[in-house]
Amino acid sequence: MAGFVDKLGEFLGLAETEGMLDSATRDRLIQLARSREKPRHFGRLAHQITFLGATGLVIGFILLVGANWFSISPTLKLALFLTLFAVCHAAGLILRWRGGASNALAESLSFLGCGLFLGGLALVTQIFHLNTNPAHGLRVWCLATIPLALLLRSTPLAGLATLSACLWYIVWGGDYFTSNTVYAASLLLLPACLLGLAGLAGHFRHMTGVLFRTVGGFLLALFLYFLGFFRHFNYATRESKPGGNTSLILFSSLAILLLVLGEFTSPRPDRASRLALLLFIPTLLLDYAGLAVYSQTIEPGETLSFYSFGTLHSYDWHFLAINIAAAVLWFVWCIWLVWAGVRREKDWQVILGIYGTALGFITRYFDLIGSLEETGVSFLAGGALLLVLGWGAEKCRRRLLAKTA
Amino acid sequence: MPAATVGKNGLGKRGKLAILLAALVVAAELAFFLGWILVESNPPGREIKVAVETHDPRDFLRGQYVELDFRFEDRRAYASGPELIPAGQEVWVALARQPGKDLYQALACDASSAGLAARVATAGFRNGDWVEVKGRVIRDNFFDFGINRFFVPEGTLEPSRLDLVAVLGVTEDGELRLRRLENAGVAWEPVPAKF
Repeated sequence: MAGFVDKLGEFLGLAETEGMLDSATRDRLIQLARSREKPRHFGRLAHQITFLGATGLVIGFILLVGANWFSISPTLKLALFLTLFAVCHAAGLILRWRGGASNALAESLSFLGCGLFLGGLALVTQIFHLNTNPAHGLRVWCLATIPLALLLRSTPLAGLATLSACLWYIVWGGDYFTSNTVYAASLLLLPACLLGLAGLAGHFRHMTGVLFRTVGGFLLALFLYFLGFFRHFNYATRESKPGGNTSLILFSSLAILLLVLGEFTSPRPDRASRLALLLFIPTLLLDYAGLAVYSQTIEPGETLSFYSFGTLHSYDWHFLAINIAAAVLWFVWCIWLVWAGVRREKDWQVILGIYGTALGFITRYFDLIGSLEETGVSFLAGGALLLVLGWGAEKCRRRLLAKTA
Repeated sequence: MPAATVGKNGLGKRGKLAILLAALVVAAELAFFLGWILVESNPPGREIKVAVETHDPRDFLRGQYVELDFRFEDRRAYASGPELIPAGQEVWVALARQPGKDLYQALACDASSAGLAARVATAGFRNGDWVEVKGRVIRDNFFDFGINRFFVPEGTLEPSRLDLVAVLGVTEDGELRLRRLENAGVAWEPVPAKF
């Protein structure tokens, strides 16, 4: 398929034949277009198929060894793993040495090697019946992947390192933090770190920055969505472990510092990262407000009780207020996405906004269904919101029609 | 590697250095695996046998395993020890050979190694009759020694009706390693279920 530069070359060639521009201008225009063209290695179909193949091989290897556990001796299993691990990495590095950094096969072999590392950890653990915490394994996997991602400047490996780091934090945090509220609040650090890293990574490799920003944005949206169900998980699960809250404050400070650093030193400050920051600030404020109520820095509010299918649900008014604020912020963000997408003709933003709004309405319907009073209030609020939305949409439509007329 | 090929593909000195460093990282990862396997294959220390009860849970992260419950993980199994050992602490326990049997059982526990030695001396046991083992208190008066999971392939029959004995390795640091399960003196092999 001819790319943009090829098509531009054909078009400018035609213009030159018509005598509309000289050959020097044509060459300069083509050179300019080539220099502005973004690298698209990762987006190519061949690359995606190769990476799917590599992922399939890792999963297939692990499953086959598991299925033939009795027939394969432990020594053979370990030897097979070590050989495969070494061969994948060696082949990947040799191909890079011979073919430069943009070799799809080399990338996928390194990706396969890094994926096998996790398989190897699981294999050794199972063969020797080691009852270890999965968080330790994920941490080792993350530490093994990061140096390779940095040295090889590989976006797929950076993705794998991000996945391992996120999984490690989720598993480790679940064990470390003694209360659901503190643990849930701490999860906001993941998007903060990723959005910060996106700015810093942009200095070295554009695609890695895009990857961090995409994953960070996704996790931020996910966090905000779950904050809309805040009233369900604001209770302590175990006895308080000393240092839990202090660690959270320390981690938060570091993550926010990273975010600010990344945001203001980004080589390509763009609208998407600024908007992610705009969504991050109110989410962070809601998160901290929840923590302040939980730790009773803010005095507990009035308790509101609702009957639902014969059960009495009681919520602290402050928790409920945070819950409602997060839900409203979610809808405002989704509707803004649609509005901004229509204005800038970005289809993906419109689709994302519509799906987000639909998800919010459907899940909140099931979340709020309960007593007549509870359901009645939520339907009133939802109906009013839809009326305002409809009025706004109609106004936009009329303005658009007037413009086109 | 021919220099001309490298030059043609535009891999500069920094690129080559990065690949060489990456090769070193991979070599270090391989060495890590080899070292780990060697350490786990030949754990130093003595072997002891203890009675065990089994259950059969599954875990999405860790696969299928047989959950092992040991009497000596409960403070109530010890004749001598503090009333309460709070969660989060290290715990030292003494396991002694049952008279006339091959099996070891709970004898005394303490929050320190020195305290444990004093308790065992008071009970009249001499070195060689008992082993000192280190663990962690996961909740008040319940201990964890990291030996609760015996991994088995998917579709293995549950061994709960068997009279199993766990063979444990005790390292010089007092840590326990699960080596195998035995049934009537013979190593227990997981049996695949027939469907």
